[in-house]
Amino acid sequence: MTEHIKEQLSAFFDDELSEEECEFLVRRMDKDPEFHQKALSYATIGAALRGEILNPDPDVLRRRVQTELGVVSVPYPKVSNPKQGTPVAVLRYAFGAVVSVIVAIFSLFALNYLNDPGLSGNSGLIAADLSIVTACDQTNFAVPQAVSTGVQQSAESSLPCTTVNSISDR
Amino acid sequence: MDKIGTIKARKRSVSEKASDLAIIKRVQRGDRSAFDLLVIKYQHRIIKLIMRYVNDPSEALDVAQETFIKAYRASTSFRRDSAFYTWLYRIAINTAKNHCTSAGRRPTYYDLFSEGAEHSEIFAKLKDIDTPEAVTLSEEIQQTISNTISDLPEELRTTILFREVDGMSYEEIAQSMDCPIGTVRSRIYRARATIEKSLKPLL
Repeated sequence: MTEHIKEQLSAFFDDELSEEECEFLVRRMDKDPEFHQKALSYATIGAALRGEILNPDPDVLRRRVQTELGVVSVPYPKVSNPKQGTPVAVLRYAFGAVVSVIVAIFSLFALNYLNDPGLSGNSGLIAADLSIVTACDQTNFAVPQAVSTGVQQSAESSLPCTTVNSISDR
Repeated sequence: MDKIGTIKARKRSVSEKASDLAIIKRVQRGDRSAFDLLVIKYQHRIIKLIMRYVNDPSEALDVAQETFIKAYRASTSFRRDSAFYTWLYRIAINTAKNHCTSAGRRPTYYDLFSEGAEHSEIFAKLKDIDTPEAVTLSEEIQQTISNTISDLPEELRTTILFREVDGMSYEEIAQSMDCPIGTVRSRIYRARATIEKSLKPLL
């Protein structure tokens, strides 16, 4: 929140803001969590100076009105230093990356397991079908070429040639 | 009212309309969060007004809540040809009178602007609205503001008191202090920012 916007908010409480300035201010309102906190403070200062202060929590009426209107009343978030938020964001990205890598490794192992010739007769069919898919739409799917080739080779070695050819002919 | 007084009143009315109009437009489009700003801005004035009719502080808070809800629900019928506060003021008075009637009481009007026992009694009751801790906190807030204002530079102190206590417009303050309106606006903001900083541990 810039000093200019804070000054505009101060002028708003004094009814000394033009309509254009007010429109700009209102647009800022939803984007800035500090905005409402400042508004509450300025309202409290004015009320205290005029001897009108009713409650040390100046937000009580706003919360009650919001609840009655069916808006989920959430206390305005405390404004934190953006620098303090950076490590949390980095941790989130790192966590996401780790999860992605784990899922990828798990998928590779699962494919290898399904293509194990000793497991069952159907596994080769799965791999052969997969090879058809990768061959048909290599540009659209993100299946790595090395993985699909490896799977195809594995399938060919485990099945009779006729089976692979008959599936490929489909 | 003399001619200058009439012009000042008209200017202020126009300014009030301009300040709130952008918010009202958003409220009329169904923006509830924009309405928050109007609640924050006018809550103290409305509760003070309702306390002229309703003698009990917690009841006054209930009536204030009802007033704002009625205003929100009727906001589409607000025609913008009067100031928002004037319109809200009428809703508040009607709601307070109806509240007294439905409670089987005759609406009592207390003039808060008159000096005397009634005046101080009502403000004493305003302080009874919450727990003793809350009362202590309210007093701490008042004391902190008072101390900070005493420590402000002379030009900031005079400007904020002209505005908040005497209710003068920026133009009137500028004329009184012989300075541009922009300077008045800046001084009032700086005074509020300083007071706000001192209030941070309490709010």
